[in-house]
Amino acid sequence: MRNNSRAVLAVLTFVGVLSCFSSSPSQAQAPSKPLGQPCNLLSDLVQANPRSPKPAVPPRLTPVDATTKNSILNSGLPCEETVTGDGPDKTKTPLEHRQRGFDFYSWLTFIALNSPADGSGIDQSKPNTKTKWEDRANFKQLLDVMLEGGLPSNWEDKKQPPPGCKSQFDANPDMMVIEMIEETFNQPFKTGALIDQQGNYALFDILMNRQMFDYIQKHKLYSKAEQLSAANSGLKIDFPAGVNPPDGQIEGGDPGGIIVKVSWKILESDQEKRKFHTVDALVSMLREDATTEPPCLRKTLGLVGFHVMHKTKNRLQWIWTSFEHVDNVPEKKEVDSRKLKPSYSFYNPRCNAATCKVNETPPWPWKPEPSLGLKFHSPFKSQIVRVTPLTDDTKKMNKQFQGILKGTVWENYMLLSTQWPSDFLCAKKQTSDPKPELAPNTDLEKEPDMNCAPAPTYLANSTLETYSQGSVPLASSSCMACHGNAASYQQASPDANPTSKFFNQSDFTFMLEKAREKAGSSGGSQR
Amino acid sequence: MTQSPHSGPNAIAQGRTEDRAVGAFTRRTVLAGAAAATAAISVGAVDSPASAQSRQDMLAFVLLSAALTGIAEGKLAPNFHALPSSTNIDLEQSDPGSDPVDVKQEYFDWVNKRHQPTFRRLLQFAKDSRNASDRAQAIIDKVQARPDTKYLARSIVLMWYLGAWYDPGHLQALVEHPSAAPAKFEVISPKAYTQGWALRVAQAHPMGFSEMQFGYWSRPPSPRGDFIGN
Repeated sequence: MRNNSRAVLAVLTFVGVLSCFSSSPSQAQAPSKPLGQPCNLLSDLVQANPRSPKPAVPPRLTPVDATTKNSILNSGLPCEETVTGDGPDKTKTPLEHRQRGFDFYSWLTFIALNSPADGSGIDQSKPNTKTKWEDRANFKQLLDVMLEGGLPSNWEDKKQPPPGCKSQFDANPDMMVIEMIEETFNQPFKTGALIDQQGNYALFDILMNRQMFDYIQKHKLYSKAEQLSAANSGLKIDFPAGVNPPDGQIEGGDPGGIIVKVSWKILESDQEKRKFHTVDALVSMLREDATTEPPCLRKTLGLVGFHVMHKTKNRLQWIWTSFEHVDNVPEKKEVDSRKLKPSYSFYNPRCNAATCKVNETPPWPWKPEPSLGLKFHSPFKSQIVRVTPLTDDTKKMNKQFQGILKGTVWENYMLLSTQWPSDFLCAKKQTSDPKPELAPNTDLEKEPDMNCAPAPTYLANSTLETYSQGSVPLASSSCMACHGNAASYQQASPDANPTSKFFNQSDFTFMLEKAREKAGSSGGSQR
Repeated sequence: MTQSPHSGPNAIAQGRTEDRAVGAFTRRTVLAGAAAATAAISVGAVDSPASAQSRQDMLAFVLLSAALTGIAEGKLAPNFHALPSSTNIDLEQSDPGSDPVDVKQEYFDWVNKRHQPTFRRLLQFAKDSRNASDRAQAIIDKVQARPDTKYLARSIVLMWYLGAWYDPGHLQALVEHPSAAPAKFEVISPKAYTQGWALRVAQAHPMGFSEMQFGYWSRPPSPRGDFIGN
């Protein structure tokens, strides 16, 4: 009886929690409210108190079904994770319980960022409905921050398209513009291009939210010269961290720094366009020389990969969320058992292993040939297989969330996993002499594992880390292990005390490497 | 763990002959281990059969390993929790820890597959001694009493420190016939290579694998306690 009462109370409080952060589909979120205001405090466990992230006792999983659909889909962006090492299934380890919590957080984040920019619910989305992260009021593309000439900018500045795209953009300023640089077609560490089954390049892009932008502007990190300056020689780059409001309150939280990295497939058929989230885009091709403006191609792009990097106050090594389209590639065991779909974006089920070698990079050169547009120069098509399967728990959660997204293109996306720093004390460690003006005061000297035990150890998206899948230490893709080595252009001051420690790490992002030279300097443009 | 068991009078690494045998596992061996690890990487990870051990067995393995290596339980097995306290361990309540690397499971399976009867005896020693006033010493005293447990325990020490397996029979032969050929070893897996404690004790990292911070080489190493918890 007592347990039954507890269960009823838990359900009631859960409904209370949901009502605090939701609106019915007809009462959509106001578009003017910034992302993460208020913070989404939902977690994978039913909470004891609607305004507190503490789970009910005994722990119960938050239902993700028709009864909670509207509330979850409109619950907003989490400012930080709400996870515990507990859960109703006592056969699971604390690590598995926390992984479930992080995966739940990732789905909430995915839904919040991909909800329509106009404030309507994601269940109202059409394939080409502009999302919140595509709205320039919420996120800026990397090259709109790292401007030519190393110039500063304001968040409100209008998008300046490359000259070759200007006339088309002016006619429709809502279009996405992708400016081709090497990182747009070549994967991390220059491991190769990804070519779809229609022979087109997959394209990659990086965006940041306002908190990231403001920090970069404040410290002038948009400029290579400013990064190298004496003023920045002592700067420990420490982006803002997301934080929930104080316990029991709704207001007062902030999402902190968020970076989004996406991969796109060029869509050519109407049938394809119904399965993907799409954008109408202008692709400015690589610049060949200083005098000729590169051509600008108008394309429909379909979202195939979606990464979110989010720094939070208890996970100062960031939380790494990885989604992709369900039709990208098969898993290895599906290939081995021949349980394959009729088609994939990056795998041909009718081609044998001898002809279409699995997970091979394309033949050189990888750079797009201007005369071919975005078509690859040879008949090669990528034959990609997922090496590390999703866990059963993640598949189960995907099914639940895909269920409440049914009828929209978003049901065609799946979470691969969420990588998070699992050593708690290490992950939230702040510097030993915190200063109020330097929040979050991340301890940047932690040793011996600056990544604080990433869980899972490896994580690869088939479209974004295609050629570094697997579980070979230091060779296979680990978000944190890779980004932990990211650096800026900062240099130690010649006058610095030789015994003082110097840092030129860039807080887990490679974005700062894209800072431009000042106009007229010898280094030239990096574009 | 309050004190390294290796500093005690009955510690494993004792005696001239035995010192020499143990001392053979030095830089050269570690370098050879790196080469072997590369080979291991190329052929894939070790097979890990479904574990038949109980939660209590894993707890005992962590206690045994901490006693043998001198490295804190929480470092060998992150998130290890002795309940109700570290001096009054209830095997039903306590948590052997869960972490994403989980090399302890790989090691447990490895030993259990090759030397199950003796391994079971070692685990029982740890269970029986879990609440002794000097747990590490109590375990070591029992381990040292029989050749089979003594040499398997040495193999386990080397496994934790080097990520490699030295067969206990070879280790015994080295002690009894010092002129015998050096013991052969097998790197257990790429994961085991990266998790070897020898280089962490030296406040360093294995060749080809580092979780340390970019630029760490320009600064003095962090205190040893940050690496091994003691």
